[in-house]
Amino acid sequence: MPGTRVFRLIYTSRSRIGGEAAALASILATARANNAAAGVTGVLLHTPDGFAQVLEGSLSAVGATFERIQNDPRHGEVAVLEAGPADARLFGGWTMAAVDGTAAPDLAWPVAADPAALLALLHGLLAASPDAAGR
Amino acid sequence: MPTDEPADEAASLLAALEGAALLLEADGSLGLVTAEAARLLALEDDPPAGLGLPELLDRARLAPAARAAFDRLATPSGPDEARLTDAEGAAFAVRRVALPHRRLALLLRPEVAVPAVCPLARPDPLTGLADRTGFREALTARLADSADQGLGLLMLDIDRFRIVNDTLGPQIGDRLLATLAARLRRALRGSDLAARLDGDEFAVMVADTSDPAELEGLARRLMDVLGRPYLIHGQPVTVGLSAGIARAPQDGADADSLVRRAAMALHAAKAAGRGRCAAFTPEMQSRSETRRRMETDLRRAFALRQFVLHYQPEVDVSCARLLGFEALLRWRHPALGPVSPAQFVPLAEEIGLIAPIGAWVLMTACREAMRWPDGLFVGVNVSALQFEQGDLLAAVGEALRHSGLPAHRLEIEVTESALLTNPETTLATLRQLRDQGVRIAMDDFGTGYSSLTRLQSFPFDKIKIDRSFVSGGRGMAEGRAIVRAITGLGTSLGMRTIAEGVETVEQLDAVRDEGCREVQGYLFGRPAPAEELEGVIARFASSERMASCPEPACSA
Repeated sequence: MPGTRVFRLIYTSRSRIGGEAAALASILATARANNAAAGVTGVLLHTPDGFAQVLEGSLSAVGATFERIQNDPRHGEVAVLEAGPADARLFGGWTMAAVDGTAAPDLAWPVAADPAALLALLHGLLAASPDAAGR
Repeated sequence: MPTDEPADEAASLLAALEGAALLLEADGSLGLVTAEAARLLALEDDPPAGLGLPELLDRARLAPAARAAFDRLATPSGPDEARLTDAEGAAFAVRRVALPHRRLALLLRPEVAVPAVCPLARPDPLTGLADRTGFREALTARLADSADQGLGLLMLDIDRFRIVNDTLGPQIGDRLLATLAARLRRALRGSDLAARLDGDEFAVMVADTSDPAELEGLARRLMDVLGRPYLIHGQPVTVGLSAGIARAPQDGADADSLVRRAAMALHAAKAAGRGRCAAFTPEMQSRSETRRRMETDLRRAFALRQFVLHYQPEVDVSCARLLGFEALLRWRHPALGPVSPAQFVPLAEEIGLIAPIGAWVLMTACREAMRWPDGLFVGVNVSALQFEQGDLLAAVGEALRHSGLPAHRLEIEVTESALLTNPETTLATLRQLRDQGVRIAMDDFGTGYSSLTRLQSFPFDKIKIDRSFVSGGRGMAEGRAIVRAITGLGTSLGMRTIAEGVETVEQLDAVRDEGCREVQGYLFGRPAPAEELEGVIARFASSERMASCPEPACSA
């Protein structure tokens, strides 16, 4: 939606599923189905320790998505790094891209609370994994 | 997904969904029915491959109207969401989601009759949970027929909810309560009953267990989920929660005593530092009884004026000149004897008695000061809550007017914590007081959250250096360094400094060496009742004459 103001929310949380692939696949599948319906795009960074997620879309859609995520027992210690209007989507092509941050250097939990640095890291990881699903 | 995605990726996606879903291929044929969807539609056995949606719906037990609505949902141009009922009247919602390659997913969600509300309970309008009366009725009914198995009661409240309301506004506060209640409802099982008892206080009746570990586990899970950030009108809001647990029949056999005991446990959890969970114990009961007795006594003490003020001299040591007295509140309990203000002031704050007591202190101190020689001031401590609960400006105005004491002879002592709780209101009030000529002192400086910016935020007339730096309790050298730093700070900010708690000549020498000219402490006089002050004043007057104090140096 070029030109439309979007709302962007970035949060981190601690994983309670370890690195379990099936649980992660289920999280992503649910996210993509729901996001496609709600016009939400974004990216999920996952490691065995935790998650960092970017959600972008209308305020009400992001709000509803975030609230649904908050009810999920598969993670905890949620911290919002950024929440506010943005000029454009940064991950408009993905209903929920997924990047594995396990090998990323210096990615310890909780991640540094600098949203700009986190976004740069996500872009880098996404560029390096052309098969990131969720487009 | 890449455009050349494997054809069955969407199918595996749906299969991974935990819920109920149907996948429709581009040609309208049925691609997949999850097990959950089959159950919800009451399909007898697995539908054969290649079956069309109409045939599938023929096999499902749906109300006729639901059948038509379902058909419309399968058309991409139609509405994308509908609420349907099956042949037995159970409701479920269906949502259409467009997938790549013109495939459609229909997501089914059973609409459980709001699990947290039983027929007896009437809803609280803001949250849709049961209200206090409804909860009490439901609890009473449940207790009557579960005498043998027992049940649990959790009480939860939001830590410092009032700050959310005060800083973000009541609309955000209400929205937060409603969203929190929705989370609470989702986190519970159908057999649990949730209620909003009052304000930010919630309760959960756990109908099928009184096992302490299980109840504590549930309480912690709720505190975790409800304590995660909320996005309210685009703004992230995070709150902490405390929880109390009571069990039936162990802790109470009827609804009222059970609720009361869960509340006691909650109170204990909050007193232990918030963000905690506590289960009721009999000691809480006896502590609470002691407290209630103390509360009654405190109210009576105020009504019967069992309080008195004692006055402690503040002295300029450069010439042994008496500057004024700090008024200190004392309560002699008829049975217990003297009760420490550290004990009864917090209680008075809690039960809303601090504002009237504070007004009485102001009035009494000002009247007493009128009997002293002209130059002497009286210092009066005010509690953080007097800025919020009572009208401090009015109380000061009335005390000055009735006593006739000039405003500059009254010194209001405010602690750092008062400035922390509600800085804007507090500073605005202090400014108005100062404009009227009342002097303002920062009390107990150096304890708690000392911050230099706090000193910059208001032109205090005086900084009172906390006794702990004077007594040497923190280490002599360290204490002296801090006294020196604060004194220097006061000088450069144009504020006088006074050392509290000076008890020995050594301590006096130390603080004097560090540049402090004003002191207060046992060395110069203990707090004394009003009737003894005449002697104290006379004693200072004669020693001052001997020290031949140069007049201008001592004027405040």
